[in-house]
Amino acid sequence: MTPLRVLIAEDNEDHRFLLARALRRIAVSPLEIQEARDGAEALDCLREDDAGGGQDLPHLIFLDLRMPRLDGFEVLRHVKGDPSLADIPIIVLSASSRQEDIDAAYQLGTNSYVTKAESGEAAETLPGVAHYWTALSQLPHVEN
Amino acid sequence: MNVTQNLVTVSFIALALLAAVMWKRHRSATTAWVLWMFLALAVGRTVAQLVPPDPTGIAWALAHLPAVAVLSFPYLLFRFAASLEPVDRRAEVVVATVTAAMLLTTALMTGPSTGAEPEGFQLYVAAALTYWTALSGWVVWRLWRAGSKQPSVIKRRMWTLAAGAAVLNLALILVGVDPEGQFANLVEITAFASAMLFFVGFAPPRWIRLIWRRPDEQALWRVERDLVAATTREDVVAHMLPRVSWLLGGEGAVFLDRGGNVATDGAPSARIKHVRRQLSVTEPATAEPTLADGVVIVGMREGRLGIVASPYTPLFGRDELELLRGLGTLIDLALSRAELYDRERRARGRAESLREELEALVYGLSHDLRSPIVSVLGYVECLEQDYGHLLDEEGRRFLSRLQSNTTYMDELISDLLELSRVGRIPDDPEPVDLTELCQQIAKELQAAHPSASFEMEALPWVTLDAARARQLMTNLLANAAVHSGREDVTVRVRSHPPQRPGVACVAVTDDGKGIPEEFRDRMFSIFEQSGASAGADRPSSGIGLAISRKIVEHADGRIWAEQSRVGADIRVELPLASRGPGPEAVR
Repeated sequence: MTPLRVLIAEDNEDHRFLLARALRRIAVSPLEIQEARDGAEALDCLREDDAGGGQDLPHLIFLDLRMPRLDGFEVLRHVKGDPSLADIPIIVLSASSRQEDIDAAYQLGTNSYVTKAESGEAAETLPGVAHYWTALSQLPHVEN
Repeated sequence: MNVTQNLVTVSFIALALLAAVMWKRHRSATTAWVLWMFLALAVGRTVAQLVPPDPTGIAWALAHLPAVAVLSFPYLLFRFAASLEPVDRRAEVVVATVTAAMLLTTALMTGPSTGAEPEGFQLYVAAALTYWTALSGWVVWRLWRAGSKQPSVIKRRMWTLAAGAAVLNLALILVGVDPEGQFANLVEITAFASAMLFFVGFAPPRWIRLIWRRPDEQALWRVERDLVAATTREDVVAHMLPRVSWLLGGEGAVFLDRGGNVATDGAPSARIKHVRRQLSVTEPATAEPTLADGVVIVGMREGRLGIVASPYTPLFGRDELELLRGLGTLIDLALSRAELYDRERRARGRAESLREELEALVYGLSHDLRSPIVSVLGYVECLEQDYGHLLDEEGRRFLSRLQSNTTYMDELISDLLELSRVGRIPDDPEPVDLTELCQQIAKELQAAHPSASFEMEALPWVTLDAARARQLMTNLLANAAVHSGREDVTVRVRSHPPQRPGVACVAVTDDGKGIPEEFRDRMFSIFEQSGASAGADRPSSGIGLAISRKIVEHADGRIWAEQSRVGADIRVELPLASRGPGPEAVR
């Protein structure tokens, strides 16, 4: 099975760890996780991946909104504005439940928006969302 | 015949008296010349009447006086006009010379009638008439032209004056062309008419002034209306300056406010500069408009007004000065009101930006507090999943307590965020069906409290933001279920007769352990709770009731705990909606 490549852009190292761990628990196929600590690093990763003709690009991107250097909105704008990157499904995973942030993220083209915390809401919805987007791109599934 | 003559004489004497009063009240070159003018007329006329037709001795000497006096009138009139608006020096000299010559000739020429006309008498008469008409005509033209630039009352007064001089001229011409005295009556009437015109010009009675002012009334009313409507300082000044300037002939006005700011109306000119100098130099002015040095100054609380006074203002502009005083008060009111508006605007702006700051702070705080909570909960789960099998029951209980306390912290933050949002976030009141709402909520709560029973009565419609209504009733019902202290609690929602019109009163009761007496007052404050509730595996934050109270009070309602023998009895008063959704729905 071809590995599922996932990019996690999140500045909080605990959240990064927990998300990666959660993904590993639900993945069916082998997982290749790239971690970026801020928006700039995320874009650098994508650029590197793209250099090889686009075969190394991630199948899924998990994006936090509030990061230093370059925030999630900027990454969204950049990725969804670049034709070679726009097709990659992006799941915004944010602590913010503010309607303005949700609206802004969708306006910039995010594919899903999941709020962290709220006593396990993320834990319940995350697998479903991840399954949806990975299934959509006709790639090895993650278990629902 | 005698009556008319006497009437004319009396009116000329009265004119002289009027002039004396005017001069006494306001001494100036102008009023002095007016006094001389009418004195000459009065004296001339009186002496002419008193001197017997066949004078001897002193009377003979006096017989010259009338002619000299009367003939000096145009010269005095000329000097009067010149005192208002200066005349070329050379012209003055010429006129003075001609007048002197005229008077001299008159003195020599006229005399006791000896029956025969002296030589050249006709020539003399013609010359005298020409002299009079020329001078008088010039003054009339002068006054007419100057008057047309003035506002209505001043204008009409000056025109009346000019008319008086012209009519007097006419009388004299009649005398000249009628040596036999055939038109004597007509002459007297004309002279009387001119006296009346002079009277009206110099001292118009109130009713005439009111009539003359009519065309200006509209304009004045508009000034008042604009001053009342103005909301900013700039508006007030922009409306007032040209108007006050116009009131005194339109040559310009300057406003100096308390802060030292200057606003001007009228083309920059030497006059305006003069006004500005006067304004900054004079002592705190009074509300009574004062006229000094060609400038009218009106003192107000909010500043000082300086208006260019035309040379005609002192004499003819009494009414206008009165008006200015009234306007001054209005301007004061308008300016202080504009300042109030400005302060209110700024305060509102500050409140708005404070609110935004608070919003950002609350959001940032809650976000920053939540991040570590997510991490803790996540790691607790990791511990449980990966190392749970290494823990004994006690260890697993520790993990569980970790989890529930952290979750509680999360809820607390969530509630705090919610509390701060009620009332800050604009909401949208609408008619809400409490019956249906409570039934929905009861159904949802039933899942978490399977043994509890929820009973609803028919409840009224209230006016409240739909989301807030849901929040409120959920809080109250969940509270009743959770804090009753028993699993099989019965929660009832009933309607109560309201204590005042226009409100609906609803009671949420339960048959649980009730609320301790001393707690009833404090229970709606933040963080108050009467101990953890048995049976619930986690404490609830004490904010739910505080949020409920804020929602209710924001809608101008009331919430309180009634004394109750069994269980709790929470009452809520909310604005009544007249009926359900429909064209007449209350908003």
